[in-house]
Amino acid sequence: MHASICDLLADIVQNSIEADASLIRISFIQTDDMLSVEVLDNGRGMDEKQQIKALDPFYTDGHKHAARKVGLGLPFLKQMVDLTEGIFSLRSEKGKGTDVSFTIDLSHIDAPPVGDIVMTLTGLFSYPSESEIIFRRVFARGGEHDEYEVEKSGLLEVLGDLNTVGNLLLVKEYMQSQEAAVEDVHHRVR
Amino acid sequence: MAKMTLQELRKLRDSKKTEIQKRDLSDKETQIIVGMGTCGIAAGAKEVLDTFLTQLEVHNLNSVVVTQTGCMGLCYVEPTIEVIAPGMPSVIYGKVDPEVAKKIVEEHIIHKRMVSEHVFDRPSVDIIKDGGK
Repeated sequence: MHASICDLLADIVQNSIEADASLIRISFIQTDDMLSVEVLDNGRGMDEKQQIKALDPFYTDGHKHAARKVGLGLPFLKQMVDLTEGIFSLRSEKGKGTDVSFTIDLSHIDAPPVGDIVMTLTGLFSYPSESEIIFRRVFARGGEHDEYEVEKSGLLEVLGDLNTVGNLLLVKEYMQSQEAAVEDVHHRVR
Repeated sequence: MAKMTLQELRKLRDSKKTEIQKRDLSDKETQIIVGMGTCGIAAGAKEVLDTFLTQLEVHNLNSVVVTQTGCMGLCYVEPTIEVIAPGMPSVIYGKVDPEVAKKIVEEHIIHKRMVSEHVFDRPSVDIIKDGGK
């Protein structure tokens, strides 16, 4: 089981990467206790039959692992959303792309913690792939609001590569400063 | 705290580059691959990745390449990582947690000694007998 929302997110974004998406948009919108996440990609997409199969934990499309008998990313996510009485949606069109969205109440007793956004995004930005990844984070609470957006291409342009220790730590630092500003809103309104 | 801009990130990177005076050039050939498939994520591979980054920096090994891959097929011993270091056989370590990651940096990467109890995909037996030397 994935311990946090971020872990579930990492799994879904990896699906987009493996679907050969050239653009993956992640939005992570937190308003008071509600969290809405969307992963939208322009990868190879799925037809209706595949979409139903994708939610079956015992199905995998064979791209990742020829011998694999399970595909757990989407089933884990749907399970978490069902347990927390949230809303889950999977929309896809073959040849066009896929959109995985969910909205949950973080104060629900079964809601997992949000997790480590900084490290998760650092990992996703540096995961070997040609895909552009754009991460948009919004945080609103009690009338206060803050947001930021980070693009993988922007980081790559400034740093040159995203796989040496030095550069990965810089990505982490950059992400930390974005999240810290969001955390400020959180604390100001407490 | 103000959000860092890309310009500031660029400045930070440039300043860190000039800070590094004496650098062991061989650390550029060292590569660590962290398994980040569903099994890895669920087992805590993210924390392991984080530990490698901080530990390598502590030892000034900022040019080591750290990448990720999907599942390596060793789900039962996740988190798994592969280490490719000059002068050492390529090794896949399993059941890696932050403590073990620290050990791998100190023993395997710096002292060129394998952390035998965590090796899961091994090179030939005689190399293990010699203690990885």
